[in-house]
Amino acid sequence: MAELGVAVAADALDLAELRTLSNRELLWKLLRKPQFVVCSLALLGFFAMAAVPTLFTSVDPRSCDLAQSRGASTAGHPFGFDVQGCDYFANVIYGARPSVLVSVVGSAGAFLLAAVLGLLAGYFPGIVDSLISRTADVLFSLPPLVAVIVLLNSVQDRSIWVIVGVLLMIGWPAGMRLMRSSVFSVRNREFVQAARSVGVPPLRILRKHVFPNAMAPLLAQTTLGVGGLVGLEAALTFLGVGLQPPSISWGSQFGVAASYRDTPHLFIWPSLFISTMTISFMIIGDSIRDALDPKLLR
Amino acid sequence: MIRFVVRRILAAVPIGLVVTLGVFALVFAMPGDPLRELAGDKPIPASVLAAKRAQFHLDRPFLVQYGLYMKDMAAGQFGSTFDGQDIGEQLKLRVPVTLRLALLANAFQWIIALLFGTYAGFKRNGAADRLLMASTLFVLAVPLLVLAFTAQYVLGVQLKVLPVSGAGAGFPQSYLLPAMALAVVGFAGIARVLRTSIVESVNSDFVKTARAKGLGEQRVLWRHIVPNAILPVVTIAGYDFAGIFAGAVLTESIFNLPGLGQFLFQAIRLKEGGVVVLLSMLAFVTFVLINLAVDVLYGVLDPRVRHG
Repeated sequence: MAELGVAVAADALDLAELRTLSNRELLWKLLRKPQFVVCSLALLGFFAMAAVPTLFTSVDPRSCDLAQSRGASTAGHPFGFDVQGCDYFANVIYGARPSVLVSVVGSAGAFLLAAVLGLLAGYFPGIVDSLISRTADVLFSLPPLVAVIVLLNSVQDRSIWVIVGVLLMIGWPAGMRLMRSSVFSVRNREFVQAARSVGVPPLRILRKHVFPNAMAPLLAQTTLGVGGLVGLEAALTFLGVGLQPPSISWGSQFGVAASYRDTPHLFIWPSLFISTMTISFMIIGDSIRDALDPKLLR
Repeated sequence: MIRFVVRRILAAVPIGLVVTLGVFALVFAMPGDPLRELAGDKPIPASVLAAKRAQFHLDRPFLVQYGLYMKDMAAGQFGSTFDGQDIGEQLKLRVPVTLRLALLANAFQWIIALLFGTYAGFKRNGAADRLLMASTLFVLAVPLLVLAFTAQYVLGVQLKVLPVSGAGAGFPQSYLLPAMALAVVGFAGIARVLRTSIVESVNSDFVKTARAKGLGEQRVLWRHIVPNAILPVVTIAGYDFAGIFAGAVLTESIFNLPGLGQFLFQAIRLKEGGVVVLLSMLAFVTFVLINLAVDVLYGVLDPRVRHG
C-alpha cells in the first residue's frame, strides 16, 4: 500500500495547478474513454450484486449438503461447492457486499475526513495546523497495519462498520497531508484574497473558494486507492481480524482456501471477482486522473 | 553532516516514546485478561495467577507497567512471553527470517524497477513503456492475497518447483515465492515514479546540451539522465522499507514463515503488550535509520541538498 500511496502522490501533485473543469466537461471526457465505460459497467454489476444478490442467484448460500463437500461444478452449480458443500457461486456472489461497502464507504469517508482536516490544517496555520499535523505524524510513525490489527482485535463483534471506522481512524493522515499541501498553493491566490478582502467568513471561503480548487489531487488519490481497500478488507478477514465466520466474504473464502490447496476452485473464483473489482476501480481512478491532468488540457 | 545526523536521531526519540506509549496503550486497552485466556477453560489457582501477574507487572497501573517494560528493554532484558518462551531467543530465530525475506524482495524489486522504469521512461510511448504502464496498473490493482495464492498454486502445487509454504526448505527456496510476491507489488510503484522522473529529465536542457555535444545515447542516458532522475526514487526507498514490516505480517501469514511479522501478529492476539511494543520499536528504529540513510544518500547524490 505504501508504494501505491507514494506513486499516486507523486502523480497527484502535478494536479495542484489545475484549470477548473466543469463537472459536465469532466463527465463527457470520461464517457469518451471505452475503458472507463466498461469498468463502470463492471462496477455497477458488483454494486447490484452487493445490493440485491438474489438478482444473480436464487440459491441460498447457507443451505449446504456435506456430501457435496469441495465438489466440482455441475449443472446449476457453475462454481462447484465449498468445504461445507454449499453452492460456491451463491457464496461468491454474496461475498461482494462487504468488499463493496468497505471500499465505497471507506473511501468516501476517508475523502471527507482528509479534506476537512487538510483544509483546516492548511488554512489555519498555528495551533490548528500543529494539532492536526502532529497527530498525523504520530499515526504515520506507527508501524503500518499494527494499529489496525490491534484495534480490530479489541472489538469482539466486528461488523463492516467497525472495520470501516478503524480504517478511517488510522488512514486519514496521507490524504490530509496531500490536501494540506494543495491548500497551501491555493490559499494566497487572488480570488481567495479577494473573497477575504470583502469580508467573506473563513468557513465560506474554505467551502466555496479553497475546496473546489484544491480537491483534485485528493480526489485522484482517493479514487486510485479504492481498489486497495477491497484488498485490505480481504487481507484483514484472511488474517482473522476482519469479518467473522457467519458473514460471507471473499477474505474468509481465501482463509478457507488456504487449507485446501488441492481444490483450486475455492480460491480461483473469489480471486477473479476481487481482481476484476479492484482493476475496475483502478482504471476508473486512472481515467479520472488523466481527465483532470492539466498537462493534457493544453 | 554529523550535526545533521545527531539532530535527526534526537528528534526521533520523543516520537519513538509517543509511538511505544501509544502502542502499549492500545494493547493495554484491549478487553479480556491475557493470562486467563491462556489457561483456556481450565481453572487456574488464584495464587498462580497472582504470581504470573506480578511476573509480568500486570498488577501495576498502566504508566508503571509501561515504565518497567521500557526499563527492562533498555537494559537488554526482554524477558519471556506469557507462555514462557524467551523473547531474546525468539528474536534471534525470527530476525534472520524477516531480514532474508526483506532483502531478497528488495533485491528483486529494485533490479526490475530500475531497468524497466529507466527503459520505459527513455523510450516513452514505446512498446516497453506501454507494457510497463499496463502491467503496473494490473499489479497495483490485484491484491497481494490473490497474487500470492496464484503463485503458490501455479509454482507450488501444480509445477512443484518451489515449496508452497513454510521455511522448511531452507534459504533460497522457501523465500523465493514470498519475496517475489512482495517484489511484484513493490516494483510497480518504484518503476512508475522512476519513469515519470526520467521523462521529465529527458526533456531538460542539460540533456539537450549533452546530445548537442555529440554524446552517444547510452552515455546520455546513464551519465546524465539517470543520476538526475534517480532522486525521487531514492526517497521512496525509505517509505518502502517501512512497508516491508506491514507486508511481512500478511506475507508471513500466507506463506507460513516464522518471522517477526508472524510473531507480532501472535503477540497482538495474545495481548502481549511487551512484545508488541518491542517489535513496534524495532520497526520504528529501522524506519528512522533507513530514512536517515536515505537523507544522507540524497546529499551524496545531489550536491544541491548537502546538509551543513
